[in-house]
Amino acid sequence: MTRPTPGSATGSALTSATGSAANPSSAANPGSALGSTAKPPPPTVWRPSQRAIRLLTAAICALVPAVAFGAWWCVPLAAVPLLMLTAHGGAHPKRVRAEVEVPERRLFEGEILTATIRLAADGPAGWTRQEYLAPRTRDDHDFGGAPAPSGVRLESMDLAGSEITVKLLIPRWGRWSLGAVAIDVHDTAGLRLTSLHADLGEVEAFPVPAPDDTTLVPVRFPDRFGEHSARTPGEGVEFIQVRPYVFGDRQRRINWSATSRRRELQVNTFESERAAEAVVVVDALSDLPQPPDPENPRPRSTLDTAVRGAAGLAQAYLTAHDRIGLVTLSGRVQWLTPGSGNAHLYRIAQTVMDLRKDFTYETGGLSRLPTRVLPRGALVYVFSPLLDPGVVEAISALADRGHPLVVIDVLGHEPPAGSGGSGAKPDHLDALALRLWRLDRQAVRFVLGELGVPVVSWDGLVPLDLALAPLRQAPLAGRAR
Amino acid sequence: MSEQAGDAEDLGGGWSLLVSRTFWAGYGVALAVMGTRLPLWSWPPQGGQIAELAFCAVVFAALAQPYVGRPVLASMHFHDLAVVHRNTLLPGAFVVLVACEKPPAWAAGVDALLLAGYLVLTDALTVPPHVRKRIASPAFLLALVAAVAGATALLSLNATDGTYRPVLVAAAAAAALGAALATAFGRAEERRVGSRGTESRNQDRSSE
Repeated sequence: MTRPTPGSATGSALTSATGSAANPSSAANPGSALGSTAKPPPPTVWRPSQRAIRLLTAAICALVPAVAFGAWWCVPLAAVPLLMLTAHGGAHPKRVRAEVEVPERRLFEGEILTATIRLAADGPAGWTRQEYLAPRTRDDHDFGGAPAPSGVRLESMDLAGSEITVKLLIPRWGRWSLGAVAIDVHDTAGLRLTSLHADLGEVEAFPVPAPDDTTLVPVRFPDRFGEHSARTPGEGVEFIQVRPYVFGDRQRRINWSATSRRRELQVNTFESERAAEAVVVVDALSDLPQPPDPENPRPRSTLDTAVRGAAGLAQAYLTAHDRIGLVTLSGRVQWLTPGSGNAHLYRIAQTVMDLRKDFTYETGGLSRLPTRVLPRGALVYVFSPLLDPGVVEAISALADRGHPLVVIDVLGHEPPAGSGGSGAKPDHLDALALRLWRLDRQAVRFVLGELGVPVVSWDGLVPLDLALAPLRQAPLAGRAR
Repeated sequence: MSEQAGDAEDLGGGWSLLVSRTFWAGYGVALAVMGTRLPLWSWPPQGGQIAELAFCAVVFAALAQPYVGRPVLASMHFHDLAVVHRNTLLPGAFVVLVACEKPPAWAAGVDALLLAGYLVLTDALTVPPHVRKRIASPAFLLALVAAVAGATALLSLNATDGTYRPVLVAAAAAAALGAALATAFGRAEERRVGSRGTESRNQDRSSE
């Protein structure tokens, strides 16, 4: 509870409004909010405070019996609250306004956001009492009654002068509502108050990329200049062989040692250098909470792991000047065509923002994806917990298109064997259910193995490099179409 | 936090007393004792009197705990209403209890002092220091005690000499009316600001 004075002593003339916080655009020019504008904001509505109600109640309860029933002994009781009510005339401003300023609305998960609320009044006020109102909770039993999926947490709220500084920790990636701050402004005697509601707006928290330096390469590269050595002759630096000179070969490629040995002109042949193209498919059809990482307090779920892994892969490919695209499987299929450059990483991050807000369900959209989203020969990574049967169909459709595929299973933990996690000792039915669950997982992996799709497990606790290391032995080839 | 530190510094050892739940529970019990007229009981007391005292002591001890949060109602259930407005319910219940039966003059004075003490102490906990210094200055507290003493002295006058009672009632009623108009509803002129009819009228005036 804080109770400083928003510009009370000075009583400086300031612009005013009420009801809710002014929008950020008007905050930049506070003087324009009133005065010359055509439509002035409504006046502040003041109502009796709890103190006034308390004193009035006591006074009325004493006066009514005294007057109506002749209970004269109640007069001393009435004198006390009446004197307290009338002794100090409270002054208050006619208008009070709260301006919200959030300097940065984009940050990475785990960072602290600072918002400033400036109170402006056109007269002296008493004191304020503010309270942070967290975003509305989500009624989702899968999250065990957690307060909100965002987990936006108030770190501190301080009032200095007429400024309220709110610091919020954004522990999880996504586009989240920051909540609001309710502010009660009292008059100088504490007998009247008015309430302001400062909405803090939304924030975009980007996922922190999982550490990864591995960029797998396909057998066939698109015809784009890059840093990977392709198996076709070209203008790269990786030597392949020597061959007889043909008209048109560059003179600097002549291998004089081989020429002297074979007594005819021989030239060196080099591999071409090509850029790889990869597409990351993120399965958001199912999202299960995962045990927390003891070394990192960030919330974890299969979708969190998938998105952080996708961001890590995207960063690795973009660092190698490759092109990477994104397809999200959720209620509706969203995609981002492959691109390169650092700005593309932020485009990818913004594309995954809405995954948690889209709770509809639709599958089978991959067959309708245009070719530019899934270029021919592009390497496709599928981050999925492999819990939804629709994902297996989608992977099968991708394999049929001839893409080299890697499935990364992000479900790192088995379900608890107890009944509903209540701590009861698991019985034979629980053991049977767990065994069936394991068999189902094996069946899914068997199907994917039959399709020729490698499946690696990654729980997000170790670097993604380790999970992908077995696949670095040779370039990945897709199925022949 | 810094304000609480300021409060603690301002009130010294009294701050630890004000934040003590036991103190407020004890104050509620004291109000219950005076409200049920325990000092005036004829001994041995009746069972109804003991039950009334026990009930009031429990309820008053709970209601006396100061509510320092924002007056926000989570629902309109009676429990939520009572939690938020407990510091309003207690003075009202105490006054009603006292009004049920005529006490001696000294008991009426003690009742008034107890009520004044509760209201002032509640303000001390819910109002910031700089406002508290103004609304609970020593001079004002002295005036409060003097008002209670004066009203109690009037009560102790001979009942046959009842000419002062209409004056007392008229003064109390006028003070109540003035207090209600001045504090709860604000000045009528301020209330009219913003209403559609007066807005156009005010604009016309300003254009003149």
